[in-house]
Amino acid sequence: MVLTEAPRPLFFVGSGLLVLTMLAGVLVGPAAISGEDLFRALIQPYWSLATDESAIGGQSDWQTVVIWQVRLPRVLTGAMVGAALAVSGAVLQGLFRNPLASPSVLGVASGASLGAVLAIFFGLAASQIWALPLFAFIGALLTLFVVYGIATHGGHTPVATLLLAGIAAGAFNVAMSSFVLAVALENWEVGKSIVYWTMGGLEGRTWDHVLLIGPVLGLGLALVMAYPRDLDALLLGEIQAASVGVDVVRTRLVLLLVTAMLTAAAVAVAGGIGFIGLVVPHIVRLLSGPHHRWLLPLSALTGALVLVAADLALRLLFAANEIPLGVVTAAMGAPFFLFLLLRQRGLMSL
Amino acid sequence: MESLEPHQTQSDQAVPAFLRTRGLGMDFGNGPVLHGVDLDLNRGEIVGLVGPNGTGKTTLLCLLMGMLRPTVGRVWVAGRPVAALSRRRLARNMALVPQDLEIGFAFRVREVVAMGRYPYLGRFRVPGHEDLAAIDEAMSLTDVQALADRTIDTLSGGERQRVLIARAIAQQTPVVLLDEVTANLDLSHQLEVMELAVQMAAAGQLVLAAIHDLTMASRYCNRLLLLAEGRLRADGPVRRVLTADHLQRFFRVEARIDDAPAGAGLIITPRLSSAKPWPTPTSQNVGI
Repeated sequence: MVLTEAPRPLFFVGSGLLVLTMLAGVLVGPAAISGEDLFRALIQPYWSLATDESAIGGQSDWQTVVIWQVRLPRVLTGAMVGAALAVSGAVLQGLFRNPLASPSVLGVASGASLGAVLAIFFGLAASQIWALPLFAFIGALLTLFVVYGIATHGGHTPVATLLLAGIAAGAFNVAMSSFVLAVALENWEVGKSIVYWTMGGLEGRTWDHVLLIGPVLGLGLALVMAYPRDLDALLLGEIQAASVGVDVVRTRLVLLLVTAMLTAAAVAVAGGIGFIGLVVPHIVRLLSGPHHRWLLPLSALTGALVLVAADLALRLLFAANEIPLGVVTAAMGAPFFLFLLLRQRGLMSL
Repeated sequence: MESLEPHQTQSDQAVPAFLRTRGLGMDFGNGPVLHGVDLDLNRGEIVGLVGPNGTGKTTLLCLLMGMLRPTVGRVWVAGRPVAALSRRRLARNMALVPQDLEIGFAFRVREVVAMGRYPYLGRFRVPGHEDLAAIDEAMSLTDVQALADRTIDTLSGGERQRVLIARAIAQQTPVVLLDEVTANLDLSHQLEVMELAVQMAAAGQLVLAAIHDLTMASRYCNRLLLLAEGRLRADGPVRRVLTADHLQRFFRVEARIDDAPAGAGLIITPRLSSAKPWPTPTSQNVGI
């Protein structure tokens, strides 16, 4: 595009850091793995790995198995969850011209959580690997339709009503999740798995998780990248966007569905991971400017980087305890967000 | 510039007006805001939309743009019902310059002007020579080239308004709607904006400007629409609309109307007609 230069350095640095962090994510862990092991594992195709019993003493050594079966799916899942959440946040903030918008604000994330919690509670998640993601999708979509339906009147969806409805629906979802959890605590194992799932994490993620979120992320990115100009125009307000030809109602519906889908997939594979969707787009906007053409892919890249880095930090610093990833992202994200708020108020510039 | 082919519809005229409404009414649920508005506006006109606050001027502009669906009545642009046109087709026919717009995002001026090319660009197409030429021309007409690389959130109100007008010019539409665009401008920029409207009309565009400044309206518009209490009260040449009687009935002012020197419209000197004497405080209601 002649009008806006691509922020190439940001893409190069971001991609480079992401690759390095992902490599570190594969190397670091309780079982020592060397760079040589990694190289050997990566040149060996996945499908040539011996599985289960035959692995021991087969053509695959244990490092290769750990890399392919444990570390890679974990790092890839983390990267894709981070990307999905960050892109959702960037889209929602543009769609509502509201820097506070994020998948959690519209109640979509807690809807997905409630669906997942119900799947665990009824024991479906334990028997069927697809039950939890499916329930998360249903929860996210139901919440979205209720919130959007309540806020829409006569073809118009006032942003304030939408955000309020989202907050109310989110509160309801959280209350229901807590209720289910309280009931579930009678059975310690179920209760514990709900608690851990709610706090979010990438522990024990497999290729099934990668295969679940991968296509959703690919489709979601392809769809949102068809709308950067519409999102730019929407930043000038609904009426301005409509006056230059943006079909505001349809754009909003399509993008809301896409963000619900991305959020549900992220929540389904990694549980509740907060602040990525809120903070990452802000960081990227500070560096790249408001253009969605660059903001969306850079948010995906940065979201992936931040989540993989957070997971890595977790494994390096707290190897002994099982600290959930959602705790780390919130603990890092919340102060950063407060810092951004202070900066905007001009207090830090003194 | 692409516009729709006018075609004959059931009409009381031989050639229907470019922008036309019949029986247009709007009710948001608390009684009608607009009622029975019939308009026939043609290209080449500068039409001023005047009336007291809260009489439905902005609602009328929104209905004309197809952003609101009227409760009753219809709008046609270039012979086609507005309700049947896609937003993109509408945006190739009508551009809107808003009242005042706070833009808190760091878009550069050139990029905001470029948004006017949206209705001509495919989803994945980048602007071509024609688009860049339209953007440059619009920026030079509104005198914002010097600001091209500034970000919009650093501009003054007047500069921002000119950028938004440039955006509407880049949109190259037969109809341009201006919603109180001079309200935040200093004198010289007010005049510049109105002169631009004259140029647009001379180039065959229909300019419909909601405007509070009656002196400015009388000077630059060749036709006025007076909207009051949701109804179109007068429609015609400036001197037939801006009468002492109309100002008394609809604006609640007693006004003296004089010819401005050098044919520069009218000078209106208003005085509140319902002016009541100030209540004198009595010892009882002081210090409540």
